[in-house]
Amino acid sequence: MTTTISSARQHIHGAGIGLRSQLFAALQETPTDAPQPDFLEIAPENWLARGGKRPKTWAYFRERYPFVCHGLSLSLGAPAPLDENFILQVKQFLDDNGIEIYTEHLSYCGDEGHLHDLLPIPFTEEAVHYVAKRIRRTQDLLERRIGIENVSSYCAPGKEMEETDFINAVLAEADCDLMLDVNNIYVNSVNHGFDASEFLSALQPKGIAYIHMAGHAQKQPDLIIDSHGADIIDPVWALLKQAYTRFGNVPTIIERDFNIPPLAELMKEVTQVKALQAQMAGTATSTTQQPAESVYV
Amino acid sequence: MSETALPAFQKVQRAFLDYLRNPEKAPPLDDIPLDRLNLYRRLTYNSTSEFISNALPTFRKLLSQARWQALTQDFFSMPRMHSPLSQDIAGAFITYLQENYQAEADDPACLLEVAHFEWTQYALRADVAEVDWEAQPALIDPLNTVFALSPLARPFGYRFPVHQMTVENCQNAPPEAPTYLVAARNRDDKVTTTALNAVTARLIQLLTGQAQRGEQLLKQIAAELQQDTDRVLQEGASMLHTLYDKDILITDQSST
Repeated sequence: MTTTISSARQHIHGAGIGLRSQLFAALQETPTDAPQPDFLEIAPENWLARGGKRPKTWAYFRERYPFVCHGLSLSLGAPAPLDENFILQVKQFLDDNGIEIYTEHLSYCGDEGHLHDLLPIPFTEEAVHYVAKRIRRTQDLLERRIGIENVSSYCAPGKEMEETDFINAVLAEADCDLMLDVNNIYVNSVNHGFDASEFLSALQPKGIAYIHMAGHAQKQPDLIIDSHGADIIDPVWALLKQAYTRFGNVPTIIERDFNIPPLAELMKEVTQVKALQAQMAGTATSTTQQPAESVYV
Repeated sequence: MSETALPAFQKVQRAFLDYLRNPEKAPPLDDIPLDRLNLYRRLTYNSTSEFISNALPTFRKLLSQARWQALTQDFFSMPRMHSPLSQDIAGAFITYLQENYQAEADDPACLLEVAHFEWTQYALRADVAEVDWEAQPALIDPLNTVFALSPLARPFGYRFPVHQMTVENCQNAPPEAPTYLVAARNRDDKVTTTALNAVTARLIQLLTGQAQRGEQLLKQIAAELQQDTDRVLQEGASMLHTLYDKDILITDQSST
């Protein structure tokens, strides 16, 4: 199989951060000669259908940064009808703001009512067809190819197949991109007891929208809570390097939702991503042991 | 669709959701360690109750931990959060209170009024209505200006002084006179609360849904109060100035 970088990716490059309200002021005050994120990510749920201060803040940032959108509540795997009105609201927001890239989670948030969390879809053949169909419908409504994120989880209800097989089957049948969350692979490797590197090698995406990196909270030897509330640990950096080796320098977002440090602190992780990307670019031509399916575009 | 017609994976999902919503009523899933199920239960319930307590901080403080948990758990056990937007969680909880709340002996009598007041302020912050504040002129002659209530102002009459409720005073009987308040989002996008006397409350009521010239408005009030018109015009002009300065009233451009 040929892995290509999603065509929509041309608008973004390098490394960025998830835009959080705690960072608004710091970003607005950053001197122009200080390191800047190359692009920003927002959850459309937190910006659309809002008046007051939000639209003014939005107007400021969208003029200054390229954006990608990462949805939270589409509930692609839910046992309830797709919220098509909501999808159309998202489409309007993307179109109004010239945002090409939209990603969502391979999960569900409830049924007729939301629980506002990301729940694990049972890994079954039937679920593959069901979710793939809903992703296709979403892509049709959005008139975009979307990226689907591999999610973190703490258990696997109704599991009948391996998670990698489930993800690969959904990506193929839905004909969508992967939104590769490197941290989630590590989190799940601990929570479900598998080898993270092998998991990453087993993923067979046709295209990658972009990459997520984050920190987490290890609570027990076999339990990590995906808190996005700490610095990124070395084994996750190692997985990112593995991902870059295989897929090339895919644009990467640092997600931080809790214990948000000063911007300068967060920018160190952005700088570290960019340093790794520079290192990989420097070695790409001299590296001969590339997996056969990878193509650098 | 009947339960048996559901695909197998959706039966698992329904059972999982039932357990998360109410672990006391629904059986745990066979193939899942209980501590992992309960982790999801804690994460989902806690984030929902946090959204509500952030939107309704005084309401939360007026309840014991046990009563708060009972109410939020009852809300959480029903599929009531239909909106995909987390900003709508508190509104769904208010609807739940309006439809399902049953007072218990220790509940402060002001509870629902406090919830309504706080939710209104919360909702105003993100309300999509806009006023073109730049187009609002300096107020020179209130009597000859046509006023309207700002689309971002919400006047209320409550039995309790909901803006002053604390754990200490919340069990007091309501005062004899109602409490009139107006919450408004101003040009700086701040939500302010202004206490109104009965006359000002009446003035705002007369402007609700109907723009009026200052002089005509005050003459009507003078007639209702059977007060000296000149005095009401004089004092009322300053009242209109104050309400205009607070962005509670706007000038009605369409009528001028």
